[in-house]
This record gives sequence, C-alpha cells and structure tokens, in this order.
Amino acid sequence: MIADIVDVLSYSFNQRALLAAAMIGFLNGFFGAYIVLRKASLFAGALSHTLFPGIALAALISGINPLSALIGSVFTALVVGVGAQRLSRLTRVDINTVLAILWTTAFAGGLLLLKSLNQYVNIEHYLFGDILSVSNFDIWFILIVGYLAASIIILLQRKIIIMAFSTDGATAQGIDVRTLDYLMAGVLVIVMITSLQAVGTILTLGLLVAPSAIISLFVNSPRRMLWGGGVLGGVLASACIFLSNIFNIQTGALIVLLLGGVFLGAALFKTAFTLRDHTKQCET
Amino acid sequence: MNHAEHKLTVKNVHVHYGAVCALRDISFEISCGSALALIGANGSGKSTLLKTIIGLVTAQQGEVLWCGNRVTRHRYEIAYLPQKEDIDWNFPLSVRALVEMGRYSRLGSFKPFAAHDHAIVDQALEEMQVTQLGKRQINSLSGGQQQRVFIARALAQEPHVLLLDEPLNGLDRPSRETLAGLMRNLVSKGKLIIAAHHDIAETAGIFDSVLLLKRHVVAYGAVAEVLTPENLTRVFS
Repeated sequence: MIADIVDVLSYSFNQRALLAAAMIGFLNGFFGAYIVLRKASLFAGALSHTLFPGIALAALISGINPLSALIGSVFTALVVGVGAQRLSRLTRVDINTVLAILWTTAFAGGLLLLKSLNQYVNIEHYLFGDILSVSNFDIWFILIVGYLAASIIILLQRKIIIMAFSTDGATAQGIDVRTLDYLMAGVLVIVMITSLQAVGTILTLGLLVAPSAIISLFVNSPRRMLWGGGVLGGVLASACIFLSNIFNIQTGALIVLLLGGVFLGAALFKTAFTLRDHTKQCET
Repeated sequence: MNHAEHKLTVKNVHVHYGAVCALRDISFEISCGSALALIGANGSGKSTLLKTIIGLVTAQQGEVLWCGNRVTRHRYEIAYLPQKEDIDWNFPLSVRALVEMGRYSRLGSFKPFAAHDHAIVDQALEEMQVTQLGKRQINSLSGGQQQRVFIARALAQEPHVLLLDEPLNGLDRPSRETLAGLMRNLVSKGKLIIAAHHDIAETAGIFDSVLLLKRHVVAYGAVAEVLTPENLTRVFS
C-alpha cells in the first residue's frame, strides 16, 4: 500500500492533482456549509448547470482558459439567476420552476454551441472533470480565487450565519440581505468554477454540499460545519487521488461517489445511535 | 435622558401589498417603560405593523421615528422577535450561541467578542431564567423556553424596544405566567414592549396600553379605556 502511495506521488501530474484536490475539496466543503445552512442546495444545483453554457460562450468568444471560463460562467449564472427572479415576479410562475426551465435551456444551448464550434473541445472534460490534467496555471488560479472566496466567507461569517438562520432576523439587525445574497451567489459561482477541474459541472454540487451535510449530522454549530466541512472535503478529495490511481477509476466520479457513500453511512450510523439513545431513555 | 423621553413615534403609516391595503393611516406615540398590546382579528395588520416598525415591510407613506429620528438610523435600539412558526428550530445552534447572535448588530463583522459581550450574554440569559439551558440545542426547548431564549437574544442586543409577534401564543398556562412576569420585569427596567396579542382576558395583567387594529387604528389608550364591549365589537365583527 505504501509503495502504491509513493508510486502515485512520483509523478508530477499526480502531485499537482493532489494539491488541487486538497484545495478544491476544502474550499467546496467550507463554502458548502453556507449552502446547506441556507437550504439553497437546489439553487446551487441549478446554478452549477449554468457554468457549462458559460464555458461554451467563453469558447466562442475567446477560447477556453480558466479566466474566460470564470467570466463566461459568472455571466450566464447572473443571467439565469437574476432572470429567473424577474420572470417569476412578472409571471407569478414559481421561482424554482422558472429556474429549472432557464438552466436546462441554457445547458442545452451550451451543448449545441460547443458542438457547433470548429475548435476541438472535450465536452466530457467540463461535464465530469479531469483533475489529473491540472496545470501549474490551474493550481495558481485555484489558490488565488479560493483564497479570495474563503476570505470573504471568513470576514462576513457573522452576517452569513445570521442570514442563513433567518433573513427577517438579519434584516431586522440591519443586514442588507439582498446585497449579501448576491455576493454569496457570486462566491458560489467562483467556488464551483474552481472545482470544474476536479468533478465537472454535473458533479460539482455533490462536492459542494456533501462534506458539510455529513458534518452536520454530528456537530451543532455553524462554525464547526464550515471548518469541519472544509477539512472533510479536503481529506476525502485528496484520498481519491490515491484511490483512483490505485484502482484505475475516474477521480471526479470517485470523489462524489465516496462522499455520497460516507453520507449514507453516517446517516445510518446517526439514526441507529439516536434510536439506541431513545430506547435507553424509555427503559430508564 | 430618562425612559419617558425615549419615544417611538409612528406617523401616518400606510402599507399596501399590491392592491391590498394592509395598514391605513396608523399613528401613535409611546414612551419607554411601558407595554403596548396590538389586538385585532387575523389579518388586521398586527404583524405587518411590527414589521413596518422594524423595517422589514416598507411603508408607502408615513414614517417611524425613534427619539425624533428615523428608526433605520437606530436599528440596534429595536429588537424584533418573529412568530415561532417563522423560525427554523432545526438550525444547528445552542441556546448560548443564539443569544450571542444578538450582540452581532452591535459588534458588526470585525469587532472581537470581548469579555464585556460575554457578560451581557450571561446577564440576558439570567434575566430570562435560561442560564442552565445554555448548552442545549434550540430544537430541544419547550415552547415557553423558546420564547424566553429569543427574548434573551433580543436583550443581548441592548435595545430599548422589543417587538414581539404573538409571544404567548401556544404556551401552557404556567409558561404564559412566567413569560408575562418576565415581560413586566423588563418594562419595570425601562424597556418598551410592543406585542401582537390575542387573549383579551389576560391583557390587563401584562400590558399598560392597547392599540385596537382593523387595518386602521380603532382605538388607542389605556387598557381599561380601550377594551370596551363597543370597541371589541367594532374590531372583531
């Protein structure tokens, strides 16, 4: 086993992948706690699917690189997110319904756009990720963007926690909820862009919410969910670099599969533990 | 400045939800050191009035003043407790952490949580008789404990005014009596309590004045003067 690990680390692409996985896993797990607390997982899911048409748009205009992908994705996320809100208000159709229509439309448009481009683009790479192909530029990009996103969350964590608990309570305490909501949506897009290399646009939601959802089963504090989610996300994503090499499995899928498996196991364990406690209490 | 000089003034407030008029020309003035009950049928605008005072609902006309200035300039002077049904009780928070959140509007994002802040939180917990619940999760509390913990959170904000939306709703008699006693205690210390309320019989024991509401002010004044059969018929008919 140790020989396998040493062997994996002897390749520079694996070293870069390990570093990227640790950073991406931490950042997603950390920010994911906010999404879980805010009960915004489905919104995040919708937004994650708008990254793909953003990438297609970037490819059309200036060719694909992390920066153009970021700008394109922020643009399409903004159009879909704000557009859904406005349309919902105008038509009185439920916001989730409008959001679902807009992101699927955008996703389909992005798929056709990328297919119609003359330049070669590996669509699967963006849909499901390919962490073993990260470059030094990607590492720096993840580091800088991730540092900025994490700093915003840490600096604003009091306001973020109050808003996640109750938007009315936050407004009553003088917090500008609408501005903070838009800022957090922007950070969400940035965090998801950093995880494109690891898990792609389809699977990014799992990496985002699963770590803090697992931690939430065992802790009762928003701050512990933030940091615990970050550490768990980083550790499990890193472990998958080794496992995927050893068992020759696609890394992105393995990360999400492992997180899903750990969540199910933890949920069963917690349920059994709680039931045993209740039984003991009833007996006494 | 003594308590009587701390005044909340609601002037000619009109609130509309689309084409529906929720509040029409609401005006009253009240000083600290008293408790005001907002009484009216469902949909009479009690919650809307509380939300308008704190700024959650925007008035199309009129204004709310604290000591002569707009309340938006004195947010932390007014604390608001929503109805129990509007709170996510499964949010992962201990009682103490919840009460500590009350300090955040004073501290902002960056000021550290100092010994002084811990002392204020201790005092708020003690005042509401929930110190022993500090480590409990908020979802494990009884209805009466939940209300007292939320008032403790409001007190940690060090406000002059507490806006309470149906604080006694759904509580058993002992819990109602405990909470009513604690509310009176806060009033005696100079707080102004404005609460949506629906139990006419117990109003006189808790509140000093009553505002009868039917989207407009039907009557406003001392409890005995306002809660007359004629006024109650006008409000609930």
